[in-house]
Amino acid sequence: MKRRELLKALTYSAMANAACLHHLSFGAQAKSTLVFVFLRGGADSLQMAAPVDDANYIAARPPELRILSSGSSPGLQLPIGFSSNQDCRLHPAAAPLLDLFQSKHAQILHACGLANATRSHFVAQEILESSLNDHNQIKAKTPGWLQPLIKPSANPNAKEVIANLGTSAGKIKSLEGLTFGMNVSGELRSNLVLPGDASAKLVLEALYQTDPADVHGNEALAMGKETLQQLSFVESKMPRVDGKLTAYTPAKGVQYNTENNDLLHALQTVAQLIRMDVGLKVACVDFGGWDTHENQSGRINQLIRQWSSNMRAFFDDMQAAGKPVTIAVVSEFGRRLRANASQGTDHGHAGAMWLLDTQARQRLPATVWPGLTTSALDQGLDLASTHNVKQVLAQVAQQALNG
Amino acid sequence: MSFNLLNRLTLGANQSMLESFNAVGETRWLEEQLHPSENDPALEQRLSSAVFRINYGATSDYAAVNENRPLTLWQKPLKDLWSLTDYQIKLAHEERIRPLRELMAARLIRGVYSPWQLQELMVDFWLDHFNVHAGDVQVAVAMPSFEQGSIRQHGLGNFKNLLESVAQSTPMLIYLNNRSSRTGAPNENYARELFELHTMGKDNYLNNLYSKWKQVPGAQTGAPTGYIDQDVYEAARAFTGWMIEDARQMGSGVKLPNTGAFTYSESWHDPYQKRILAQDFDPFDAPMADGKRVLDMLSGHPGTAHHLSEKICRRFVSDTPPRSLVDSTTKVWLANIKHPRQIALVMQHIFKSNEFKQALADRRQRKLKRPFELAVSFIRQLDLPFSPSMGLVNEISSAGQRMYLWPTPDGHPDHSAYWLSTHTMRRRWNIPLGLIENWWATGFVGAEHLSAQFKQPLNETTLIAHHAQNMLGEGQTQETLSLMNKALQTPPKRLLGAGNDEWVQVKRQLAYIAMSPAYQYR
Repeated sequence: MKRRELLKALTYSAMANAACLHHLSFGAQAKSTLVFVFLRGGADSLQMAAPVDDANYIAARPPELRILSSGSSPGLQLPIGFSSNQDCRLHPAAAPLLDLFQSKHAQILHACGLANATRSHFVAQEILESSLNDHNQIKAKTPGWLQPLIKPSANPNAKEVIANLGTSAGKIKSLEGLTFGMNVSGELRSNLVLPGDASAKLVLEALYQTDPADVHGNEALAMGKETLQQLSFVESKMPRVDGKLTAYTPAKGVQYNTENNDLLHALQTVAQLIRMDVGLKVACVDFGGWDTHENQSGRINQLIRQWSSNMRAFFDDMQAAGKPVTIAVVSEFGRRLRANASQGTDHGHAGAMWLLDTQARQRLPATVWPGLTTSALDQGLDLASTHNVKQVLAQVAQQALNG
Repeated sequence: MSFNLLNRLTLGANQSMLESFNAVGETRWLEEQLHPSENDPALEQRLSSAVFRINYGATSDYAAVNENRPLTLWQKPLKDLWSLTDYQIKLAHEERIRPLRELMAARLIRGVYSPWQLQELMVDFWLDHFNVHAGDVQVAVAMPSFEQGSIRQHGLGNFKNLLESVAQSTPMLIYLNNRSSRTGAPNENYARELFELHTMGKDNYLNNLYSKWKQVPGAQTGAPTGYIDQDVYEAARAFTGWMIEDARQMGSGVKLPNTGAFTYSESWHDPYQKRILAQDFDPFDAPMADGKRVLDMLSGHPGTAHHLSEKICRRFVSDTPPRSLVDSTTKVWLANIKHPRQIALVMQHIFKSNEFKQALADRRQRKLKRPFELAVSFIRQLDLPFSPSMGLVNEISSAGQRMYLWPTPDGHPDHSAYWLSTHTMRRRWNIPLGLIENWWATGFVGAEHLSAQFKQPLNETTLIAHHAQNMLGEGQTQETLSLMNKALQTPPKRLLGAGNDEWVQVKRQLAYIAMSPAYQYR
């Protein structure tokens, strides 16, 4: 992309932002729980949403790695395209999201990415998830991007709060530095009860009672203490039948997709905690498997199906419960425009960000589509970035968390 | 001190190891550990008499199976196992991936019983460094030969040999897709992770600073300090044609045999000139010469020496290893670049360093036990009867350590920030209690296992204090016991008979000790 065009594009985007903010200033804005969904591995945004009639797009990829405008499984036309005068469509497996675009509960920001030129999964994820932008400065315990946005709780009884949740076994970097958090992997009700009997609990409470003077080398002590507190609080609020913790029951008519247990349990855990009113401000959900260097077509079809149907189920579930939720979906980068000879795509640069909001608030700026001609591509190869994904994310989170 | 040292360099310092350590002294013990023998009759006996349960339901193609089966496949060569990947043959999934299951069982048995404990820790290190996700059936079947032929064979040897072996291994060629990479539009997956994860490391990835190879510092003199995407793209071309015999149609009516073995295809290789790390590659070089040259350049690069040195120091010394030690280790790495025991010499340097000794004495530099280490150390230090089971493997996985099944090529993070969460903490607490109460069919623990060294009548306080000392060492036993006793209001000096109830309580107390904060550290 030429510099002049880029500047023009950025000016346009600033105007769009201003218009968007102006729009937001009217009407009361309720706070909502932010659900941050990370498609790990570099999701191929160009097979999730694309201008299907673009000659460069058609030339760069075989039909199996494209969204098509016709045939047995055509793409789904977006009510408002992200590139003017082009036929912008979603992958057919994203059908559960289509009418949310029509009702303006869903938005897409295409061509957004990091300011850094990296094509590394691990560098890109670290930058995206960190509160810092310079990769050389980021350490294992650098606070995550959400940490500066979340104010410490003013609740005097703040211990009885699950303010943030990671739905994976290990810590999620985006949440690093936050307190009153919790991790759950698998079904919530099977991951709350402590091992052993009442004596075991007494002993654990005794062993983990001390507040470590120096946290270095005492991380296990601090985490054990937090674990005892958080588990017992959530367990006490869980629905029970005959004394036993019950499985999650979604709102009537809501069907989660059960092909992927990890994703299913992750979203149902978030839904359960939101419905239990435990003070959840932000939940991080990882959904991996998007690193499709080989045989992409079938794999991405399955991934998009699991993703979109579960996003839709969670959205409907929360809307039925009357809980305001903002769901932001990102990946560390998009993939190469041109396919490789393994029927896959390699690491690219800009990707797409997705947003679902139960109250149809327009949180994303309009896409500035850079085009797919060689001169418009980043380093001549990849979709260029016209919005900084970290800046947009921070703005989305700010609005969701503070109303 | 020897307790702390052994807890860093083994999967749990037990009495017999402490005795042999004290008998020969630190220098010789270390020397022996760095020269593991292939011949261990006692370990062989454990492995050959072990069983691992296999369990699946009936379908129209096969009957149900639920039995304890000996480990018969994990040492077989790949060619004898590859037919398990053939879907023309009707087989239960558990039968197809049985080689992987047996490998999991053997890892646990070796962890508990191998005298070559440092080797076991290095196997874990390299399996993370060259991580492969064995969820795919072909990978699962090839995993035993990968672990034996690449990781164990070269894990204490020369890094270049290790790297070359991994590059030609069936699991890596499948996992990072190089087997389908061909001239014209190569697949970049392997080439990128080779630079970023296997050798130079992301600290030497300078793509955000430079977009042309000539701009990279040092490139003008043929010795660039880092790499950029241009190097990755060209290296991907260099490895085209490195593949496996997987019955693939190669074009022009040619079809590969189906053995799973490494092969090189001239017709899929991109033979034209390349430029990688500021070096010119001539067109039409000998078969595999391009790829081998890339591995040679990368394994000898100072950036690789630094990346690997820092990583080994982080594993054994501290989550944040001292820079002075990383620098001196890097020098040893480079000075022994062609030495057949390069990696062992690097480790010896680390373990003899002052920085290592200081780290052992400094609570702030403690290393957290991985869940596998937590389970194995508990079994070793109490000398529990042990039989491997999938139940235990699954529990270790739930606590954050997914043996052979970490999904992404970076391997498990080596920092407490990953290993500690409310989820993994609870799962860690399960492990000792589940082992001592035999939740996962790892073996019933009887009074005789815990009291063998004691004279009758048995005093509960003495017995528990003895085991606690073996588990926690001098420094932390008293505090842990007094907190536990206070919570349980244990009467002092209770005598233990043969009554089962008393032993249930004793066993639980031993598990509680392992659930303490102190026991979470090596």
